[in-house]
Amino acid sequence: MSAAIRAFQQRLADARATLGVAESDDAAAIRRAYRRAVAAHPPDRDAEGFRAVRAAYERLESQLKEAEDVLLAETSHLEPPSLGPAPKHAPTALATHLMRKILQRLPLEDIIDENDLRETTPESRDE
Amino acid sequence: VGKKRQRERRKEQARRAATSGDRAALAALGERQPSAAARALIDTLATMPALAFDPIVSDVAGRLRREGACAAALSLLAVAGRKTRRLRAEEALAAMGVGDEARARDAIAGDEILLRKLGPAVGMGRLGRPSATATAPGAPLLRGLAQVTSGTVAAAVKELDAVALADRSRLFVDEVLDSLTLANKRPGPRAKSAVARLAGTALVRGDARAEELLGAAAATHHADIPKTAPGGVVLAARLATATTSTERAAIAADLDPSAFPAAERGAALLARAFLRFPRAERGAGPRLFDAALAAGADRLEALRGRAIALSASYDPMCRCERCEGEASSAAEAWLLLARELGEGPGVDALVLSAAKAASDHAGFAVDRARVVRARAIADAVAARSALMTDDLAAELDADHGGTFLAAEPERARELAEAAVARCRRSTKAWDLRLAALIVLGRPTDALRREAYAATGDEQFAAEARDLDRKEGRELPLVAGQRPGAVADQLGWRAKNGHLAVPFTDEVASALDSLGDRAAAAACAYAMVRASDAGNASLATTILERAIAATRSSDGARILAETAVTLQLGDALVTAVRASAATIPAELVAPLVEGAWLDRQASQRIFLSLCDRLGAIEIGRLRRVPGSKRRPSVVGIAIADELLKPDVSLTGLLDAVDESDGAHADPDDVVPHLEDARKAGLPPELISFATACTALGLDVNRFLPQLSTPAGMSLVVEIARIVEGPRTPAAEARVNALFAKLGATAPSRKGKR
Repeated sequence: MSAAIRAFQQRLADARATLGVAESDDAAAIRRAYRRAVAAHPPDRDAEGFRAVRAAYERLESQLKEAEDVLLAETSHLEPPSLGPAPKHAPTALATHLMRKILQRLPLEDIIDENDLRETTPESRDE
Repeated sequence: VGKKRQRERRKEQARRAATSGDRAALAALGERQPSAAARALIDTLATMPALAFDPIVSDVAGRLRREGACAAALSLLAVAGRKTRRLRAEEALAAMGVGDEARARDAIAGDEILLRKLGPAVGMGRLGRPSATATAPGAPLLRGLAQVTSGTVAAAVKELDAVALADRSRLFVDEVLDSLTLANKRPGPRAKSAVARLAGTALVRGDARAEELLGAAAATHHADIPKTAPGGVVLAARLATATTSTERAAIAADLDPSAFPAAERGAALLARAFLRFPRAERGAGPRLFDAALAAGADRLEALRGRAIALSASYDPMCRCERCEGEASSAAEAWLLLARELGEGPGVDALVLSAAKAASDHAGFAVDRARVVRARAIADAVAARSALMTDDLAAELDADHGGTFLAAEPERARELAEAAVARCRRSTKAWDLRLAALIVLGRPTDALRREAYAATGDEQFAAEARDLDRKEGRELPLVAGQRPGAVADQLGWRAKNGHLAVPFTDEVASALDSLGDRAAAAACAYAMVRASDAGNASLATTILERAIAATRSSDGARILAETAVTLQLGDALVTAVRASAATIPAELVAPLVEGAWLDRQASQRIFLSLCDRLGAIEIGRLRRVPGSKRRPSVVGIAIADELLKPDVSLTGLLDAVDESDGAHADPDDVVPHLEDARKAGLPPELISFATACTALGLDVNRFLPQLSTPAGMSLVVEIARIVEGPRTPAAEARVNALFAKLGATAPSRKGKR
């Protein structure tokens, strides 16, 4: 699942946990929960707690809008792809890539001695 | 024999070889066409004992591997099994070719000899001593690979040095040694030459993965990349040093996807799709996401991108069959995404949004089946959460009602009314209601006003304004309207002489709510309307009020450019002088520059305001006219941006010009400005102002004299002297000239 969707889910789950509401709760229930939470974290005594409550409420209020923003964003939510080995390993990766590439172009006999390729299995005797 | 006939004959040969199990025919086919032989062998092996075909299978697999078709070789080898050492070795090598080291290790796991030979190259087993009787020329290369894999680069170099002279070129030993140089932790100056040689070799060029690795390696060692290096090398070097995610995404999108390891290829294609689909040709955008999906990109993200690309692929203003078909496809893409998102906490809001998008596109396409499916998804979400709002429900109802509009307009009207009853704010529901009445041939005027009152929507507002104007009435201005709508209303009032200045509280509060720049743009628009109606005094009064009110440099520039375009240069100077005491210093340059179309007005504004500038600011203003900036009608262009989409100042000036209005031709504004910029403010005028500032004289005292040729010649002479060496004679001459101008210059003790 896309990282953005996971992050979106997590943000909503955190907001619900902050206000103590369930997903099925309607707007009125969220507002009631918000008022209760504000009473528990009044801005003059617990500014940080109030900010968290306010942010959670705003997030739940605007979740459809946020969902639209996530879905309609014209840029990828994913981290750009990596070239594989981290740059510090690139030099070694280049050497192995080139050697493998050359080996792939060679017939088997140029890679492993003919003698080593011979075998004496029952199947090969039949052959 | 034609090529087509040849192909058919070969196909027939392959089919006969496969069905008869003719080993000679299969071997011959393998020499000619390994991929066709592989297919025939797979068919044969399905029906006949495999053993008899092992040598042919290993031969064909080897050929495929050497052609780079390792995946096809692996498919064939999977059918044949690992019965012989050759088959096992080929499988291990082909697996290495596709980067599947686990399969390579698995293939050789029970074979002691292969374990010894190939194992170390795939990180399995230990490398023994090289055999004294070894005959395979590529064996040192294989051993070198094993050494690099185990991290002993120096030992790898020794192995490579053991390659026979005759084989060195065929085995690209020099190139491999260069790559081993870069594999050293500190290659020093040799890195640069190794990068340069590798960038030019056929072994690297055209191999996207090699190019990317070389670029990254060069970046690691801070080695310069030659100008002739392939693009992939350059991009990879940039990618390796990119710091932000956006920068990396943009570079990654330009790289060949094959440069990325198999696991990242889907993500690479997805990044490319997101960056390229907006510029892709019609229909090509969704295919970019299909390719990413096929390459294993994140499924939800790729489906999301595909839905966006399909949504953007049709013209929502066009009702052609193709556009409707594409809208249906977009709807289907959103429905698919809604389904794939599934159910669960936090996902419902996304599902509902996807269903809404699906309904919207299906509604456009008059695709009732998909509208109904989207509604069913939305209803399912509504049943388990409290996310469905009246707004959204009314929108979905309107989409559904819209599908009846052409065939059953009465039913569409009923559904629209139900939607409006559910949510009076819903613009879409009102749109449908009006459309149904139009189809039914009923009047809509009253309903348009009702729609505006209920929704406050700008489009309805514009329609209601038009209606009111037709009836000689005007709508109230309200705070929060778009700048263009306010400008339109002000313009209409100005044109009809209904605009009182000083502005009424209604107008003043509407302008205040726009902010400085947009308010200036709206006033400029009203000025043009007033001027067009022949009411120059109203235009002047608006200008004075706007100049007094504006505190933004963009606003000052908009007003100055508009005023001189309307040939109201004198009025602009008067307005500036009237507010000179309160105009901030940072507005001087925009006003002077904005008035350049009327050079005299520009000079007078400069002289009126330059006393509040320091010598440095004056000097800076002197440099501006001579700068190489591309001339453009900056202020009017800014106003157009602020007022769109409702009105356009340029469009209005054009329209006024066509109706023989009295303003300067806007098309000529740019050349005139260019001329003015080239000429700039006369340097002597600036020198004079500088002298006045340095001497503590109020430059405004000399304004009356400056409007006469004699006065200007005095100014020019003063400027020439103060620019020259400071001598007692020069000071005496300056004093005399200032006396002629009607002022006594104090002794020049201050800095000039």
